[in-house]
Order: sequence, then structure tokens, then C-alpha cells
Amino acid sequence: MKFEEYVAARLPALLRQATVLAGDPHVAEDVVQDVLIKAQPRWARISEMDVPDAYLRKMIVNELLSARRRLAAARRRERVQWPAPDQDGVDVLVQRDAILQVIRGLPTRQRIVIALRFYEDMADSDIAALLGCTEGTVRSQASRALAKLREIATLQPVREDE
Amino acid sequence: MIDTDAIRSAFAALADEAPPPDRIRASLAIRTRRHRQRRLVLGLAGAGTVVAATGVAAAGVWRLTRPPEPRFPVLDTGPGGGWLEVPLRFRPAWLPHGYGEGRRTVVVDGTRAPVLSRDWQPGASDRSISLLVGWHPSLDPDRPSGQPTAVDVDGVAGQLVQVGDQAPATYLTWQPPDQPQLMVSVVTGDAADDQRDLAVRVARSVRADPGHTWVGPRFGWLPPDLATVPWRLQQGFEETSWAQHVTVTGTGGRQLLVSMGTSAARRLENTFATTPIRIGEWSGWQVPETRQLFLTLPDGIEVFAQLDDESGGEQAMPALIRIMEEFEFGPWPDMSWIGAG
Repeated sequence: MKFEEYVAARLPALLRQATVLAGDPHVAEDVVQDVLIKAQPRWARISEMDVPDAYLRKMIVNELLSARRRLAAARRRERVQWPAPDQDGVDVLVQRDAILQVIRGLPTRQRIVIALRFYEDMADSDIAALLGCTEGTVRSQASRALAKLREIATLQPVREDE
Repeated sequence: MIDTDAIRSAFAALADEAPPPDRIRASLAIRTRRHRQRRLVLGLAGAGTVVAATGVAAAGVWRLTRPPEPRFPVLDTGPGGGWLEVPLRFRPAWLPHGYGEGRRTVVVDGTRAPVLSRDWQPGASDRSISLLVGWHPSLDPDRPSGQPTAVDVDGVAGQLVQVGDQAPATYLTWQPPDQPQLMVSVVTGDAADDQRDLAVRVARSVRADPGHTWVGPRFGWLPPDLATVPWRLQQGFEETSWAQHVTVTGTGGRQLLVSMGTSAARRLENTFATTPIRIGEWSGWQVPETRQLFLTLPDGIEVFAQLDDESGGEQAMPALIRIMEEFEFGPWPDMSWIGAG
């Protein structure tokens, strides 16, 4: 598949994926563009892989975790308005928008971990391989992210349907 | 209670916020054209000259009275100089408002620099107008193809070629008597007619430029497939830092890139698993699987080197290390010309 054909077919999906991982559509657009620019000169080799999507996903994750991006993300997090705990219970807290707001404000690596686990349905071992870390680190990052959801939303323990 | 479904639902809603792909497609299209044009710039080996009459004596006629808008960084660059002095020879005396010089590329063949390309752009933008001075046979495959239109460039016959439909790139080539071949490239995203007018106007404004630029870095050792081919030196800026790239494409298709600059992000961008390495007094990391080296020089300059060997040969990484061991960086470039109109 030529680079242009790949972009024509897969760009919308890449942007959705990057938006989930970045928590911000503008950052996602920026990152995907950078990644494609980097991928284009070496497309001959990338396209020989069975799953170029996976390679580009790794590039997207790497880009999001780069120092420059992390710094920008930290600045964005400082501007995030965390949802106020509801005094009357958890009804409002389980609202999707409230969860979204928490997700957007998570540190990049934590958001990537839970995005891969819950949205991409990836196993922790695969996430660890993608991030170049141990499964324990993945579980730790996920635990922190879920704790943040609990903490911010004053939730009962997050229930994971395994 | 928040359960997995609620989290998935939130992520799905987030995915629905994904931007439309149009802007990236347009940007990639422009970049592709620009890349092609850049390869061109380096590929044309010519002999010829621009409108000689407009040429040699009119230095100082540049549009200095109308400086570009301040969208270029103020760079903390080096002293300049090097082992090869390259005359600039020509430059346009007219450019659209806001355009400043953003990039220079030199083709080095042995101890000669047969081709020089200079790009002007409105700050950090994909739009550019370039002037290519000279020609080299290695650039022949990238020569713009299309139906040529005859254009008069101050009494010299020129050929104008436009590539692409919706957002074309425009190339105007001519050769004044006893001068190298010149080519103006316009990749501004404007309509074809507008680009044509720009190319002609810029070409007709070309005058002699008595200035010089320098080639600082050079190789002490290269593998045989890279040692006998021309290489390119490109100087420009990335965000607020200067950047200098040396590239070589071997006879077998291998590509070598040595990139130098002051951007701190350059080193930290590497998020792959890496192994520490020390080359002389330089410390850094190597990524053998991708044949990459990331080095920090004692003066803080960051260096990235990659030998793009598609065959994946085991000797590629040792070769890259030896290339860098014997690489001479030379004096860091003087890029005070960045942003000059």
C-alpha cells in the first residue's frame, strides 16, 4: 500500500485514536501530522510490516510521551477545571462529561494506559510492550488513573468488568 | 459507580471529537510537493546563468527597506566559517511581503559545491519560494516534469512547469549566458495563475549576490557506497533553534543523516529503548535496531545520526559509530541570515 493510499484510508481512524490517547483533538491533529511526516520517508519499510497501524500507534504514543509534548500537556492540565464532587451522591459524577474531564486532566502516560486498556481493549502485556515498560508499571499507571477517577469523582471503587 | 462501560463510553465520546482529516491531508500534499521540490533543488546540476544583465553588479538592491514580519526566531548561532566557501551568486531582489530566508542547502561533490539552494518563506511556514543556483546530474531524476511554457526572463528564454492540479508547485528554469542554470520554485499553496505570476516576478528580479556561505562539517570516513557520492548540507531553524543537517544517499539506496542543533527536545524526543554510548568525549545513546545515535557534545549541541540501511545489515551500526567517530563538525554555522528578506 502506498503512503497516500494508507493516509486516504486510515487517517480518520488515526485521528480518533490519537484524540483518545491525547485527550485533546488539537494535540491529536498536531501529533498525527508530525507522525505521518516522520513516517513518510520510511514508508517503504513500514508498509512491509503486517500491521503498520501498530507501528504508527507506537509513533503516536512516543510523540505524546516526548518531553516537549509532556511539558505542553502539563501546562494544559494546570488549566483543567476538575469537576467538583457532588454533595448529593454519585449520580452526577458518573456522567460521561465528568469522566471525560478527569481523563483529559490525567498525566499523559496514565491516560494512554487506560485508553489502551479500556478503549483499545489491549492486554496489559501488550500495553507494556508498546510503552517499553513492565506490566507492573502498566498496572501501577492504570491504578493511579482509576484512583484519580475515584478521587475526583468521590466515587466508590471503580469496577472493572473483566 | 463508574464501570468499564462508563469509561469506554467516555473514551468513545472523546474519539468523536477527533478533528476532520482535511487539514492534515492538505498539509501533507503541500509537504510532499515541497519535498519533491527540495530534492529537485539539489538535483539540478546546471550551468548557465541568469539574466546576466540583471546579474552581477546590482548587489545591495535587495528589499532591505521592507523587512519581513518578525516571525523568525532570533537564533544564537555560531561563528560561521568552514572548509569550503560557497558563493551565493544570485538572489531575488523582490519577494512577497513577509518572506524571509529560512533555509540554505548546498550540494557538496568532493571539494566543490556545484549547487546552492536558498528558500524564502513567511516565518515557520510550509510555503516557500526557492532559488536554485547550479545543477548536478544526481538531481536529474527529480527534474520537474510537465508541459513547459516558454517564459521570457529579462531577455533569456525560460521554461515554466507546473506540477499538480489543485495546489500546484511551479518551477521556472532559465540560464543566462555564461552563468549556471537558475530555477525559481514556488510552492505557496496559491492558485496556478498566481504561482506563475510569482515565479516570473521573482525570476525577473534575480540579481547578483556577492555574499558567501560556508560548509563547516565534513566526513573523515564513509563506507564505500557513501564515499563517492555527493552529499548535502542543509541549514535552517526549528522553532527557536538553529539546525544543520548533512545527508548522503548511497549508490545502493542507503541514507545517512547527521543532524545538529541546539534544540533540547532533539535528544529527549527519543523514547525508544536506548543503550548508553560514549564516542570520544561525546556522551549519548544508541538505538541499534534503528541504527540511530543521539549524542550530546561538550558545548551542549545535540546530534542525531542515523544510517537508514533497509537491508538491516549487522555492520550498519558499527559503520555509523565509525562515521561519527571521524566526523568533523567544523565551526557552528553563522545563521544571522535567517529571516532576512
